Amino acid sequence: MQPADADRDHSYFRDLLGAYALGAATPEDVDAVAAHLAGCKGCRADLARLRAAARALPLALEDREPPPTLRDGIEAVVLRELTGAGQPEAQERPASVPRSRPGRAAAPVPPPSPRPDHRFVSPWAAAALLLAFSLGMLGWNLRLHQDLGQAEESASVVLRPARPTLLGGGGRLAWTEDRETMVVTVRGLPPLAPDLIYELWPVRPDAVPASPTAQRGTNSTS
Amino acid sequence: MAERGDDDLIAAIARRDPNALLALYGRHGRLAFALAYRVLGDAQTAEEAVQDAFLQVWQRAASCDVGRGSGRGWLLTIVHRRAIDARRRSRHRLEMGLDAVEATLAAPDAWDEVVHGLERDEVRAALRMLPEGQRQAIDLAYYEGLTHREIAERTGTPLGTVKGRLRLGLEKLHATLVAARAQGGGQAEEGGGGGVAAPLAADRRGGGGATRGR
Repeated sequence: MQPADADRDHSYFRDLLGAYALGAATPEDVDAVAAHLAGCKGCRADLARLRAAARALPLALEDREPPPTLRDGIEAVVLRELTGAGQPEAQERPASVPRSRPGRAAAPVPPPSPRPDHRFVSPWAAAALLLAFSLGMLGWNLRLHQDLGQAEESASVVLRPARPTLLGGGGRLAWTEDRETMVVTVRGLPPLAPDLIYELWPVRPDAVPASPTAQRGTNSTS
Repeated sequence: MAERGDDDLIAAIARRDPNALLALYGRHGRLAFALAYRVLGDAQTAEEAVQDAFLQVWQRAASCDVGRGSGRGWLLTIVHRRAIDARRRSRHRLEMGLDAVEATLAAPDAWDEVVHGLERDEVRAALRMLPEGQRQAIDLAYYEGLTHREIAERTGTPLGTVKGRLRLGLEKLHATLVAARAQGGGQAEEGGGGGVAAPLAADRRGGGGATRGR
């Protein structure tokens, strides 16, 4: 190879470094530039500067408030992964957020599934469902209230979030006669962080707790 | 208690601490969403891109040597790539995927420390100092995901000029930001628009070469 050719090759690749740093080089150019970079220290140094500049570009943008479902979606997937290890990645997204396909795709991927379309749900059907649900809940609450009257006692309650911080509180503990349902009313707690998981452990003075009852963080306990 | 830095959060994410990921989201989620929205122009697909990006951070924090002071840049690079991939898919175009990005991320640049402390106004001021043709070429490449060949076709500019605008624009942007950092942000200006966006009509009207000044 003649020196003139080598110089021309170098300038050719050097000119491509801006497009390369911005991800705007064509696939064939990407491969060629990558091969050139492996043997050209000067171009690697140039690329480092150009890439740093490219990384600064989004910093000029004005912040934009994302929808609240975004944080919830991230949290849900991560917690599901932590608590349900072994699930395939394809199932690690809440149903409400369609999954886009990561990595290299040879063929176009269909656009994300649209959100559920509720336009075809009859308002009368929705109202009937809501009424039936409300009546059901009312009946269940009345029955529960009657049952709870049969057994109630004071309780000392400690809520321990998933990190080692103890939150003390007091309240009352009540349960149905068949011991299938328990209600804990807690007072005197500080506000609970909504992004933490709390465990409720009913502990008798003379017994060792067997297993926790998992509850998502909330300001109400039931 | 002092607020944890990005480096600490990335390290905690690598140890599978979900609160660290949510803290990182709390700190940079709005900018990440702004970036994805700027690329995609649609809230739903932007939301998907950002969620994918944070899951990538969650899954790869332990295996990527993010480097000191480059957590924000790492996150935004992934968000950008996710958004560009989604935009290109929607146009049935080529897709680069994350492979190249990950290779990049595994070897953080020394210059990342320059980017680390930058503020919005500093970057905006630096962008305003670019010649219009360079700013437009960078905008089309970064936010619209066009290749240098497509930019040449779109703007009716010779391919060599486009390549030069991209390279020289980034060179000048870098030099300006380094100088601003050296002066403690002294070149920062108030106000200004977000992003690099320059109307296409401006380039057609103004033409000019890669080194044309404003």
